Amino acid sequence: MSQITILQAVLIAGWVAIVESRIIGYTLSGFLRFTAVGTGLIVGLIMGNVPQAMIIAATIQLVYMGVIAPGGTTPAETVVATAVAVPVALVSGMDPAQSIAVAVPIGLLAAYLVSVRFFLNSLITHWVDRLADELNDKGITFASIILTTIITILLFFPSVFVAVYYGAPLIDAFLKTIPQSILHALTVVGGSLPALGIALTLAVIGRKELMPFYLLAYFSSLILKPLNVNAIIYAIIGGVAAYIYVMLYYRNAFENESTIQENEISDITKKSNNTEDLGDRKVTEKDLKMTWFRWWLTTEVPHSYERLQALAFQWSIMPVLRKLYNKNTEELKEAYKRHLVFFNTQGTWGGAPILGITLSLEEQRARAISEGKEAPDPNIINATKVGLMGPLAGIGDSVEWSTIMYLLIAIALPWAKSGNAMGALFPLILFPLITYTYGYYFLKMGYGLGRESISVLLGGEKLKALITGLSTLGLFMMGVLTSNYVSVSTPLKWTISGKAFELQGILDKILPGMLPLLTVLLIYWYFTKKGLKVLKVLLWMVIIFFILGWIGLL
Amino acid sequence: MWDIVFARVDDRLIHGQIMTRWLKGFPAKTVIIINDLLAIDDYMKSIYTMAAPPGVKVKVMSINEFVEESSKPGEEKAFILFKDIESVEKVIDAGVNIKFLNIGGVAKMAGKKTIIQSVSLNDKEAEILKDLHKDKGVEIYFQMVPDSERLNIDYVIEKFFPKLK
Repeated sequence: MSQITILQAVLIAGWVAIVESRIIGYTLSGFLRFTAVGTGLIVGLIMGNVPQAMIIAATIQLVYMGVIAPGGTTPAETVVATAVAVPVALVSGMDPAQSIAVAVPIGLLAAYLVSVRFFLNSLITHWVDRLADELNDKGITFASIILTTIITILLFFPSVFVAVYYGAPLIDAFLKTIPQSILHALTVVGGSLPALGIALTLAVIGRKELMPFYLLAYFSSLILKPLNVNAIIYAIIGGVAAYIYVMLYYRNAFENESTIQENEISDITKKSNNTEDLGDRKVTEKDLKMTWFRWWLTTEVPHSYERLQALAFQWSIMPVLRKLYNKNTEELKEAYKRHLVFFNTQGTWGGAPILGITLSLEEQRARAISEGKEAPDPNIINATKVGLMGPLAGIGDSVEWSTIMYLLIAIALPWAKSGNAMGALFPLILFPLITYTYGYYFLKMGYGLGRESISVLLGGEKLKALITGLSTLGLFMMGVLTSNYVSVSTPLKWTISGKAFELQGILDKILPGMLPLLTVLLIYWYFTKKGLKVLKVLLWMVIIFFILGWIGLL
Repeated sequence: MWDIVFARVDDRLIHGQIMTRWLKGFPAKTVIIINDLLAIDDYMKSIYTMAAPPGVKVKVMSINEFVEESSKPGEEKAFILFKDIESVEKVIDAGVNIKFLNIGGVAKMAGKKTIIQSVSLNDKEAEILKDLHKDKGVEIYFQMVPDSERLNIDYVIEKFFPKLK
């Protein structure tokens, strides 16, 4: 058994600390916090064993499928769980299924650290209020962005370092002392928990009427298992199936709506162009790009319960506000302060359009003031932000995190399971790239069209068709993952008058793959009848499967 | 008209937690927001309707509209959202049958006691809830998301508003 060096522990702890500070970008840090594969790759590089690290991370990933954090809540911090479980498993030669026994408790504990982080950040908010009153841009940058990042890093680094450096040998020693029956039970638990992640993802994508695609994919991939079909092929087949479904279901949308929507868009654009006869706009494309970048980079860095994303919002538009209000220090102060009030939404679907709309409203206000005309009521600006942030968060959380992110992970998971770094690189690169790109588009539309941009962005059938297509593909991939990675089987056998009977063989003759499918569907049924009580189900599954594994039923 | 599968008080109405954590656990096709101010704001009404993810229908109704629709025949499954506790009282007093009520989001303000992280109550609100529970038999519980701390009304009255007992 090899040891974890101090350097390795330092690097791993540093990685977790930086990810938890969320300074590396909204969708990038979100991806890395909620999912295991990215951290698996990094830890693999640090420990010098990428293939095995990827395999272990893929196993952990399956358990944590479907985990997202709307409104700043999370049941477990996957990044910490993975960063501790993978090195421990690598060093002790643990079976990937058993590594889940390490990952799950650590993930739960780490969630408490996140609460502490929220509390510590809230101590900064009042200081930022005072700095805003002094129009101290540099001070605001330091307090809202830099100091908060440092605090989170200092919070997570020591605990993860200790867990990895001292924990690994401890856990390894412990595992060597426990009897085989318990080890087997742990393996059974680990083999079954992916069913939880998959069932959660099914529930969270939540389109009951699309479930046939799940079953289709499950049984098809079950049959094709011996052929070792490449993951991308499944994704393509699923994509084609989704495409056909969407084309048929939204047939009217594609035949009629396109012309209607195009007319609507040109109407709205003409209207907004006409009202802008008040001279040239001060906000440039460069300003928009910079604002989007600032927001994407820091969305959740100054996170506190009191203000949530407000400080990041204010920091993102601070340079443009200064440009718009120019010499008018009183108005600028008011502008700074009004954007420090509570704000929370989904960063891309809510943040981007609202930023754009806010900039256009602030520009109108600033221009009217400088021309001595009657300025639009500043309360409208906040009312618009508050009004939009809720519903846009609703669609953003269900589309971006629950559907797009997990779809990308699901496609790449077979690579990860076979030890290939693509399992991490595929979603790690594509997810931030795609979301950053359409996010900027949202912001630009928000600025250009103002409040009407929401109808343009969300009103069309084409968007609904696209989301439905992605959801279908997501459910399809879940079926593929279920048949490959949920291990629930029974070793029971008995003899009757000299003839041997194997229960698993009998079950397979009735319906191949029955037990894994039943496990997933049972949990899915529970989630949709009793609510998404993830922790409760997790606890019960661990208990039940441990006992069943220990007594030899599974 | 409605088979109410889930009723919640949340001053932020629809947001991420609702759509991803709650709605998915009680999949009903129709989400109804009951709020007088919103029902007359055409712009916001259209936003809420448009921002519904595919597969979900969102309706915005005033208290009176909702009460009226409720008396019509039918058993459409509905997931309903109130912005404040007073609205719930009005709706239940008007005869709508709500068996379970989740209090998920009430902002903290001066004079309010913090019950759970996302809910703070003042004496008046607590009294309304107590009456709804004792007189109308509504099961009331405080919970932000399905995995977070869950407190029921009896416990909350006992601990935070003992004078109301």
